Amino acid sequence: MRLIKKFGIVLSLFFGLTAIAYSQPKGFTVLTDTVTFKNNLSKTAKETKTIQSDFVQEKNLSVLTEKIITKGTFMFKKDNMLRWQYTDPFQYLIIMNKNKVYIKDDNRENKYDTQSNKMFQEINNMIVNSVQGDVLNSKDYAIKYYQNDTYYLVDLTPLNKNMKGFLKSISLYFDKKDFTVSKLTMTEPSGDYTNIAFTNKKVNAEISDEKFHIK
Amino acid sequence: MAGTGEDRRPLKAGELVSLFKSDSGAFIYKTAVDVYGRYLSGLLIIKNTDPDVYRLVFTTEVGVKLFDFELGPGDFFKVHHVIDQMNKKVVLNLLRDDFRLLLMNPLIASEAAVSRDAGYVIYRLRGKKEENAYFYNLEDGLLSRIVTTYGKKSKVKVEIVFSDYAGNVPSTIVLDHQNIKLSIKMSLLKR
Repeated sequence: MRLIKKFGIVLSLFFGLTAIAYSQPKGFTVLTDTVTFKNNLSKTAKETKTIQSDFVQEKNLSVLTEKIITKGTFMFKKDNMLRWQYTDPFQYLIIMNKNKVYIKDDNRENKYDTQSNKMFQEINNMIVNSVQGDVLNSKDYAIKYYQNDTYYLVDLTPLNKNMKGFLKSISLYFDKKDFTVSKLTMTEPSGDYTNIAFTNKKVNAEISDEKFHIK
Repeated sequence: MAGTGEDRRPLKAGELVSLFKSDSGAFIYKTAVDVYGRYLSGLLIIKNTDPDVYRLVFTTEVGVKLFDFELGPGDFFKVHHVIDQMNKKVVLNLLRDDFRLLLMNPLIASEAAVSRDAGYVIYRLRGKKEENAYFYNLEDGLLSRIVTTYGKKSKVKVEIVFSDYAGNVPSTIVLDHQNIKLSIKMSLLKR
C-alpha cells in the first residue's frame, strides 16, 4: 500500500478512536456486564424499604458565573412515597404520595393529582423508578452504562416528547459499595445543568407515614 | 391639590437609573406568580450583562428553567428559552412589558414632569398610550413605587411597590396588574 494511503488509514483510525473516547464521560469506561449490575440494583431495590438523606443541589446556568446552591432533605418509602424538602436558602416542600402531589412554599400550599396532570405523572414515575432501579427497564429512555472505581454511571436520555422539552439527559451515579444513588446530573436542552449530591444516606431506617401525609 | 407645580424637563444623567444596574453579579429573587388562577413559583435571576442589557431567567425551585429573556438595549427583546406552555405571544408580550417597567429599561420617554407631593419626588413620563409615574422617597431617595396609568381618567394599569431595602436593593417587590389577573411577588434571596 502506498505510504500516504497507509498514513491516511492510520489517521482515520486514530480520529475514529478519539471520537469514541470523547463521547464517553471523562474518567469512565463503558460497563460491559450490564446484566450483573442490573441484577444487583434490582436486588437492592427489593430489599430497600426506606431511604433518607441530605442533598446539596447545584444549578449551573450559562448566563450566571456563580452556581445557585440549595440544600435540603430527601425521604423515600415503599411503594411510591417521596418527600423532597428544601431548607436553605428557602423553605420549599414537595410530597408525592400515591397519585397526589403536594407543594408548599412560603406563600401557599398546592395539591395536584398526577392522574390529571401528565407532566407530574411522568416526573413522579421517573423519580420513583430511579430510586427503585426500575428506570433501567423503562422504554421511555435510551440508556448507556459506564463505571469507574467509585461509581456505576447510568446515562438516561428521554425518548418521549414531553420529557425531551425539559430534559436532555439525566445521569445517575450509583455507589459501587451499596448501589444507592450518590449523585445525579440533569442536563437541559440548552446545556444548563443541575447537580444533586446525596449525603448522610440511611437505608431502611424507620420513617413514619406521617412524613408523607397529604391532608 | 397639594404639592408643587409641575416642571417638565429632560431627564438628567443619574435620574431614573435601573435598580438592577450592576457590574457585580446577578440579583436572585424568590418569586411567585399568580396568573388567572394559576400559580407559578421559582427563582427569578436578573443580570445586567452589558450597558442597558439585562438577562432574566426564571427557574423552578427544583431547577427547571421556565424562561430566559434578554432585554435591551432600547426595544431589543429576545427569547432565549421558554417552555411550551408559556410560549404564546400574549404571555411573552405581557412579561416583556412588565419586565421593561421593572428594569426601567427602556424608559417610555426621555423627559419628565417632576413634582413633589406628600413625601415623594414624582417623575411622570408620558408614553404613546400610557403614563409611568416613579415615586421616590424624599427622605432617603429610594424608589418606592412605579405606577402605570392610561386613558382620560388615568386608570391604573399596573403598580410595582418596592420595599425592605437592603442598601440600594429592594428585598421585596410586588407587581400587581389592575387590568388583568396577574401579580408577581419577589423576595430577595441573595446578591
